[in-house]
Amino acid sequence: MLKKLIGSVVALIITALLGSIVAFALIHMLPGNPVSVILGPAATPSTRKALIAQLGLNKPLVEQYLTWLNNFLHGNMGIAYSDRQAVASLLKQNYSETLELTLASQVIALILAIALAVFAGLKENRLMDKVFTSLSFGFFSIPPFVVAPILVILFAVKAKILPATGYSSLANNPAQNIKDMILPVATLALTTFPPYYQILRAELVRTLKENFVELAVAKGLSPLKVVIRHALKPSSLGLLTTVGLQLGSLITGAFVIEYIFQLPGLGELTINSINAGDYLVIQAIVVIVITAVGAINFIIDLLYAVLDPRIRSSK
Amino acid sequence: MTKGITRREFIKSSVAGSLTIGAALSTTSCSVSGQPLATKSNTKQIKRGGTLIFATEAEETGLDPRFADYDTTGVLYERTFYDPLAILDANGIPQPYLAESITPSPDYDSWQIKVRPNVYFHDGSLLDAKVVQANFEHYQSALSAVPLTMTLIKSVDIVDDLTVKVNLSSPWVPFDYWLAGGIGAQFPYMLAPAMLKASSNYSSTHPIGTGPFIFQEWVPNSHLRAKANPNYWRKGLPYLDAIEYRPIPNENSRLQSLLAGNVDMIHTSSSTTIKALQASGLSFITDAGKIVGEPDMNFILLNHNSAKPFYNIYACQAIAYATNRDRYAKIIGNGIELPSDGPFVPNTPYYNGPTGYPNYDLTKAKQAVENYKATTGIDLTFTLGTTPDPQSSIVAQFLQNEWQQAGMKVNINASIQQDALISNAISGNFDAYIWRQFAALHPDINYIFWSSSTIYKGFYINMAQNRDPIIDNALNAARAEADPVKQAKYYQTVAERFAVDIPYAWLTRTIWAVAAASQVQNYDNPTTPNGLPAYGMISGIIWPTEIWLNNANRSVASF
Repeated sequence: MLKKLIGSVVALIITALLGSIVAFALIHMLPGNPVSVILGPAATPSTRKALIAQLGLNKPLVEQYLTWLNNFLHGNMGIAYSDRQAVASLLKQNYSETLELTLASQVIALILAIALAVFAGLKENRLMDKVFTSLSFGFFSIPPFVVAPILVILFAVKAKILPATGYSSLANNPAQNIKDMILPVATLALTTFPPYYQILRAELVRTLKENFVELAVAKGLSPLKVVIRHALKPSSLGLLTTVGLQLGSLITGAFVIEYIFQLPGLGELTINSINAGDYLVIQAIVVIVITAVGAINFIIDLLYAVLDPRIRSSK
Repeated sequence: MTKGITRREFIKSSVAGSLTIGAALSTTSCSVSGQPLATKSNTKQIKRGGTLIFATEAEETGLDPRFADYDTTGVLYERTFYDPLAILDANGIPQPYLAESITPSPDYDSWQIKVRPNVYFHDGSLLDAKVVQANFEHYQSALSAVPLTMTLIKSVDIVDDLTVKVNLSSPWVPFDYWLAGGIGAQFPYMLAPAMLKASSNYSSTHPIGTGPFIFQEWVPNSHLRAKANPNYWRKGLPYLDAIEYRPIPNENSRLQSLLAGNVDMIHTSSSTTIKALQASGLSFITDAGKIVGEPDMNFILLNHNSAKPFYNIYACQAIAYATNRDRYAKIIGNGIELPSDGPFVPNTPYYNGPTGYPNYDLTKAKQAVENYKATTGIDLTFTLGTTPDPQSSIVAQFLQNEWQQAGMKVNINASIQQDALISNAISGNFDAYIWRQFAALHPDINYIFWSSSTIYKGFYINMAQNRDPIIDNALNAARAEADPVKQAKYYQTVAERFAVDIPYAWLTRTIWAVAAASQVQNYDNPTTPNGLPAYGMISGIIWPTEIWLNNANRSVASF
């Protein structure tokens, strides 16, 4: 176990390092530079040159990268070019919203998927199974940027019971925070639960035909108890894998949601930083996202062993 | 000194004409111009308190006017924390604001500015002549675009405790328009000495001014909060307890926030949003029928560099003849935006009827394309660039369709990020860009973009790289001309030369709207310190000082 942990950490570090190099290279391949956004079109060549020198953008790319890496490893992520705030401070301001949005939406997506899959598994090929399956395909086909405005029109503009945009932090105003996050979380949950539901439903239907399930039924257990006690756990490996695979689309989905609902999260920060050519912010976010995805996948690996004793004993 | 008609009389007659037209052009479902001014006689109607939330179209790169490059949102921020030295009155003429008097010398080669006594910054420091002098010096030496706007300022001398004399290298007649602090004119906003000392080379994120509101918190791209200045030099103001700005770049989200009641006010330059506002029943105003100086213009920026297709006049003429501006205004502009044929709009002193800019004529466009091929030996092929947002892509496709009918080969590059767009424009690495610019309280503020003196080697602030000595002479003569009629004629010459050179393929003038929820009062009736009407909304920018809320249900404590 310890060996696996160390191996995963080393792999994560290498991945993050390589990711930061690729991100750095890609960003600098794009035309333009942040000085243009800072100064606008009306500045003399000497002013531009002086600002480029002040920001260190005139140095060779390798030197710029190594300077960034050295600073990063010492906890200094630099100062954002666009608004001159410390990158670490910007990330600190913005990460909590993204964490809240992704965690809450995935908890709700999983609860929804599990509940519907259990029901569908029990009622295979009956009306409700078909209704849920159709609904899941429907939500799978509709992108978040279509679902979001519909929910906003219904609940914010027409009913005026939820806000269309805005964010109050959980620490400062919990009641308002919950109100602010209902629509964004609902949007992300509705558009990410379909693959969870589909995979789990298929696995449950298969597992419910196994001999040990028949034995449980023969013992007199109710169908619901059979599913929850005996069938759900072995059917969840595919669900776990899907959660891991969905991480990429979850993050991009969160970014889109943050833009639509004007939530001050990492997604919105990333979009604004790309527009402004704010290399340091983009670099930092790339490393953080790679690290987060790596860590989540490691946790998923561990959960496999929890769910399936055969994996535990083989180790 | 001026001879003949005074500037006040000249501009007043032009503004009167524009307001008459404005009554017809303004949308029918809006009006707050009938609201009472916040004068002493009706102060009993005013309710104090509450927090106004204003959704802006963009975020700014900093809160220090020395270093940031401010657009509409930036000037809103400036008016919140700072005060400019001048303000435009209802006739569009600069009047003293933070200054008590602004007086030019007889030949306009120096200006004397006397600031008001007993005006304090938010940190308690006093505004006096030394502070004004220090401000000018810091602005002139800032590592930003601001110094380029102050090149005529030779020195600033102290005359007495409250008075400075700004010495110029040559006569600068419109200098007082700059002091009114609109888009492009950032140096007239006075910063506290502590702020001047604190930030050495770059942007301060803690503004300290004399303005109506005091900085509380700024989370970029989320919110900017400020509370009322209890010691504001304009006694009794502001009426609000606090103000919060929320940047919401997505037009749909911004409008829905207003409709849902999450924000109290928005501004917009999107014709689609204005159309939606017309149907919404909300109170809103536009600048369709009134403008001072010139509005933002939508146009195609054409690169006249010798290595580019548009160095050839036939290419420019082809674009101009092939663009149906009326159809563009109807389809892209939703019938809200107005077609333009130059940088100035009717019913301003600088517009003198059609400029001679080519009107839509497909036959002439095709002929111009053939002439291009005959003179160069190659087909007219170029790339039209823009940013990767849906609206810009629609515009690009519309124009591509129009131009290809004339035989041009047009490629679209709609994936250029904002920083690259500006970089490429100033370094000349483009053929044609979809562009919006030129909002200014006075045409002189656009001098640096139109004069060939800002065409450097490898850098082109005159991004079209249009070299026309007639334009240069007219611009230089205009800034030294005190007679407003003659001055206006020079700018008319500039517009006519643009119609000949075609560095800009004109499309429409941008229409700005400001919309408010029903509880928001008095957002378009600012006053001068003497209580006289000041000029209201310009390019989506209002004065937050005299706004009040009928239903002040949001307190500062809720932050």
